[in-house]
Amino acid sequence: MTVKDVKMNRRWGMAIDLDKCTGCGQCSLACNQENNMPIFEDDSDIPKRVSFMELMKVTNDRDAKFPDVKTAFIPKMCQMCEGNDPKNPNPPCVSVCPVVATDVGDDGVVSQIWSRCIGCRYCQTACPYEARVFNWWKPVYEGTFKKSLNPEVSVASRGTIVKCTFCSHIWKRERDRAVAEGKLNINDVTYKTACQSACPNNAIIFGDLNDPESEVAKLSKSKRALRLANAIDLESPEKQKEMRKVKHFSNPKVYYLTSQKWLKDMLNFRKN
Amino acid sequence: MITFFKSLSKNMKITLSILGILTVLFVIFALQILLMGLGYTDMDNNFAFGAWIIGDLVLVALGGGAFSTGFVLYIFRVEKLRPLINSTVLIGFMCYLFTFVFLLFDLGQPLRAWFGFAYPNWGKGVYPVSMLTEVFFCLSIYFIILLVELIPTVLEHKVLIQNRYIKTTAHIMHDFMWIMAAAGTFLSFFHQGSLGGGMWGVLFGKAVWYRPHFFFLAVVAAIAGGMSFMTMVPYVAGKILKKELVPMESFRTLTRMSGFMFIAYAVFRGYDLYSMAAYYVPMSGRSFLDLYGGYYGIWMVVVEIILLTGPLVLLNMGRFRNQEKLMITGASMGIGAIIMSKFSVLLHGFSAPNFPWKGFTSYFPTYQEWFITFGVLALMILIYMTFIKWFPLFPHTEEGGGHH
Amino acid sequence: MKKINRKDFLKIGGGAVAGGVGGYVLSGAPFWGAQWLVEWTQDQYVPPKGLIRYIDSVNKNCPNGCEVSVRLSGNRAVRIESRKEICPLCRNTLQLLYHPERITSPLKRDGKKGSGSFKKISWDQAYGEISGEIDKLTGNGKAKKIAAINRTESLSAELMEKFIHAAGSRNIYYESSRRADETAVLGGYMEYDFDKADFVLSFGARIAEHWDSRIDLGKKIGQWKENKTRFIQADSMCTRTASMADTWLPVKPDGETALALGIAAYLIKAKKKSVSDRNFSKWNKLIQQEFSLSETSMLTGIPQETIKKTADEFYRAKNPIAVCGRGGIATTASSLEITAVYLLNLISGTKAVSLVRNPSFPHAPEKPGLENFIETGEAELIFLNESNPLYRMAGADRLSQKLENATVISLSPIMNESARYADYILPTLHFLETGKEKVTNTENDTRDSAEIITSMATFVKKTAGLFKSPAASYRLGTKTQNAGKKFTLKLPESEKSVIGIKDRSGDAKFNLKMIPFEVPLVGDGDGMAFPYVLKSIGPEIFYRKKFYVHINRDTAKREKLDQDDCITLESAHGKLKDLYVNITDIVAPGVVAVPLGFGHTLYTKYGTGKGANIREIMNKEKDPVTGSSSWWATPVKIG
Repeated sequence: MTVKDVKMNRRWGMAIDLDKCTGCGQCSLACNQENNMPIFEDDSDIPKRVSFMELMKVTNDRDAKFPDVKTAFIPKMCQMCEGNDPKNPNPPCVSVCPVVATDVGDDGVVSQIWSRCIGCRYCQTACPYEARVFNWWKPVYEGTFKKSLNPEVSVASRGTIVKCTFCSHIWKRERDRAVAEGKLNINDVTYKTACQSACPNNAIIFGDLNDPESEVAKLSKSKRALRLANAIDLESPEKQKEMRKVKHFSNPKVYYLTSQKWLKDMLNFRKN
Repeated sequence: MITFFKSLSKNMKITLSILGILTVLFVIFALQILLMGLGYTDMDNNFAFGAWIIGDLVLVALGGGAFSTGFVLYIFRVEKLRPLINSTVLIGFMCYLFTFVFLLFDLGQPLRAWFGFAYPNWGKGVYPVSMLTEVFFCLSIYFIILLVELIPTVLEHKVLIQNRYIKTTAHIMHDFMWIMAAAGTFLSFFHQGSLGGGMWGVLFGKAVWYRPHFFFLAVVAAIAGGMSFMTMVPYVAGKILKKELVPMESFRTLTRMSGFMFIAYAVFRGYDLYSMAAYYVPMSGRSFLDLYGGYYGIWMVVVEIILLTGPLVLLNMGRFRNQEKLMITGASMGIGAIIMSKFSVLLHGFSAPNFPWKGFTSYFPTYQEWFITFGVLALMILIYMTFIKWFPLFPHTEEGGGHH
Repeated sequence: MKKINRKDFLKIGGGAVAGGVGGYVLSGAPFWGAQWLVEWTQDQYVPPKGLIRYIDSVNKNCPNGCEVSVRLSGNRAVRIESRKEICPLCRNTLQLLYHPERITSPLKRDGKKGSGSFKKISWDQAYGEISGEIDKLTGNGKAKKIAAINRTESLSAELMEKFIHAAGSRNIYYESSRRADETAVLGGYMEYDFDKADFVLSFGARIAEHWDSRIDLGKKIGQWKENKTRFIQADSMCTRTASMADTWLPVKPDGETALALGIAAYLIKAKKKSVSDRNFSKWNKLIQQEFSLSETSMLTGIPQETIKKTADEFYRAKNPIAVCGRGGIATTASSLEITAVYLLNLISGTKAVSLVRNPSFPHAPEKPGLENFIETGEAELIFLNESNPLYRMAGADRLSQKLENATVISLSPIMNESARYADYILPTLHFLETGKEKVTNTENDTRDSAEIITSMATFVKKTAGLFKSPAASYRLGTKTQNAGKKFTLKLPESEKSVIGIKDRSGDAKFNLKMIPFEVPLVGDGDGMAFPYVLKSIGPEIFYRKKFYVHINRDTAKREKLDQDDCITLESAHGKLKDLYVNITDIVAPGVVAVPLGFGHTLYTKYGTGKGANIREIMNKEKDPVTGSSSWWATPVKIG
């Protein structure tokens, strides 16, 4: 048996417990470090900011008045959409790329090859989650900051789109280690994303959605779970079937868990 | 060169100076953008496209008039349009040329532009997976066709045409131009639809854009608006040069067809808005009016509808169309409606928030973007003026002899 | 042979060129050329690859003693991982390790104080000169004029305590320390056993926002949900803690003290509780009189029923905890509030709260409180141990005078506002570069702060024999002992403060209250030097160089303010300029909520000049007992 003979059975997904998230920001730190995010003297031009994870502070103060207000933090990375059919994934961003710089792997991860990207930003336009960011300026790493760069993630060029890849380079590293140990079944390889391992509150759970025993699969079926701005989830199964005939829905593989009604409403554009 | 400049009238000098300055600024800022990146634009991760893509949409939509005019002339043999064809082809050619220029600026990696041909996203069938791949190929092929269509005009230059080989070539090319026109029409249908509509219509993740028929709506818009544009350009050129470049009768024929297409467009656009509000937007869990808020929102649609009444009334009723002023007003309003719809697609589409806790965003081009946009327009005018001056753009005006 | 004429020449030449170009294009060379051009023009950095391995290390200078697992690529540390939860500063520690603006060798002032002009010196020279100054002071009987300001209760702070004590001074202060303040009031500080608690009542302690620099509390809130531990938060702003709590009591700004006193008064009366203290009956009479339920309700804005219900629930709980210390990483509480909250814990009979002391950190300066020291203390030699009081303390102007007149020694890895006033800057080593847990090397001539203090002690005559074992063998003292029942209700001061609360609640000129709040990762300002922290600051805080403050919708209407308006905030102590208005209802009416940690004037190019420093205009009146200022709800107006 060689590595190539084994079919990938995993379908990586994530469950983020918003009830546990305190908004400490460590996920974002770890992500920036792991993925060699560019360093700028002033990073306050937020619409042009390059980072894979956005820690969004959310409040219901548009509809509610003090003191009936609530705040929450939503860590948002690439939602790893799969379209209507998990077996034949079709995220909004992949089909639009004119140069095949982005694709869905057999493990469900939406990948992006920096060096293939021509920077047309069509995928960014297509993404409903603002998960793709563009290197508007040349990524720079001043002086000794270069020393902390992770060699497993290539530094992107100016003018290319970059995005969260569920730290798939960590998977590759773990796979190589398993292979070196003689374990050739890639399905034995598991890993933790940078944000997950950094979360002090265990709010981020990453794992295999195909494995019904995995924590993430169980959480994704929880009553508290819902997906970000994915209207189809709110409909009955019959209606869902009908809707799927008309169009694709993004159907992310990232689930957000919350027991807060206001947050549930907000995540799907409903007024509260 | 200097003596030539001195020989010009005062107005012409001023015009040329302004155009020249704009061109120089274009070059300067083009270098800045190409060498130092897109950070200097007001585009951002939210507003991924800006002024240039609007330019693209407008240029392609209006330049598309070249194919419709060519098609009507060469396939349906509407000979009245003959005097217009050279000008039409030139404008179409320039529109596409500068569409490429804009697209190149919009690429973060212009040097990798060829990846679009080297690694196209074709998928398994004949039809490309990505609308942009379609745009890449279709636009390039159509551009080549326009180039071929333009060659006779160049060859008919009074010096070149004296060579008998060239004369024969130009003649033969004219005879076979219908093939080009037919091929061009075929191709145009695709990229008009893709860049102007399909490209946005397929984005199923975005409630503000998604509708499956958007591709076809854009085709109709291009035919309707394009023909009006093809009327306007020689008309304005004629006014400036103070001579009749094209007989009024040709204009009337063209605007009549344009007016008819505007009826089709209006009906289609009506359905488009209805289907969005009643069906597609609610399906994404949003409400149409919530989505059409912010800075750009619903007023753009209202303006578009008001403008649309112009061609619908003025170009379709003989008694209005026969009055030169009303005809031109109708055509201009039609062009305005199409431009407004493109603006709406772009500005409104990007402005709409993706999350309920984020607000509508706005976009205002930086001076780099303005100057590159205006520089392109200046270059287009300069090229057009060059052709008027030195090439037989309006051959029938020269039948009496003498080039000015 | 046919003579080649011009025309033929052009034909042949043209053909050759066309053929050449065609061949060149068809060969694909231009495309590869373009690719090469892409790479060449972009000059993209490729990090060198190396063997990947992990080394575990402990940050002994972190109050939490964070245990990290560092991933190395070759000899470069590329990621901080951890098996346990660690604090954000340790998570981001590589940005400090590899910060391009780290100080690389000891510096001596070279020019006027505060001019920022320094020259490099050797370690021996630094030790020699500093110990000379200390010897001079101790020799002249002026040992008490030696002082140290520590950042937090860390290992180097502990060694500094030992060193200063041995030199003959007790002037050791902490930048905002809950433990020091509570020790001054209660004779020990409250140690909370959050695992044991079945009811948590927090008076503005922002538990989810790294309260007290603790890293485990975020997880605790999750556990409370599972154990059905009730969690009630009183705060005048809807922080994440308030939203995570089971119940949020939206108190009026600065109403936390009144709420604690009101609940105490109610419980003492209703449950007939008493505390064996000689001042109790007088104290009780005072609060019964001033903080009846109706009065408390008026002062806090919380309905009487809710106060009563909360008090009853608190009393009914088996092991309730009342948490004191408003804020996140930096906390503040008046002596009155500390007393009131401690009384609540006392009368509830809880086993989850105990009054303790840590012998490693006695918190026993001659006059407690850093503000006290700033105002009245006399010092001729001041150690700044990783602290930056000029940035972090209210009343920086008086402190800068003090620093100007004394010999100042700053232990700091990077330049900051206070280090600028130093005579000697001793650059500290990063914890990954030192000790048994050493992970990597940088080429800087820097040393570990524990080592700096122990080595310095050997140079000083009086303390030469103090540290016998090498610096690396010291561990942070975490053992605590019961503080005993030394607590007495300090009546006279409290009486004044009780009346003070009421006075402060209605200031005609300054009609708004300024409440600070924490921004993720920025903390108390430490984070601002690090680009990856800047990357996480949200648009509601700092957007396109604009620094936003939160104002309630109704307040904004009353003050005629619109979103994004630029305002100046004025308090009795000064003005904060260039603040932008963010209108949001997550703050109470009458409150201006300002983020903490911004407005550095010297803290690397990443942190300098961003936003405004709220401390500049905060309350600096010191509390009579704690000696620290209660800087929470500063009265301000929009100027």
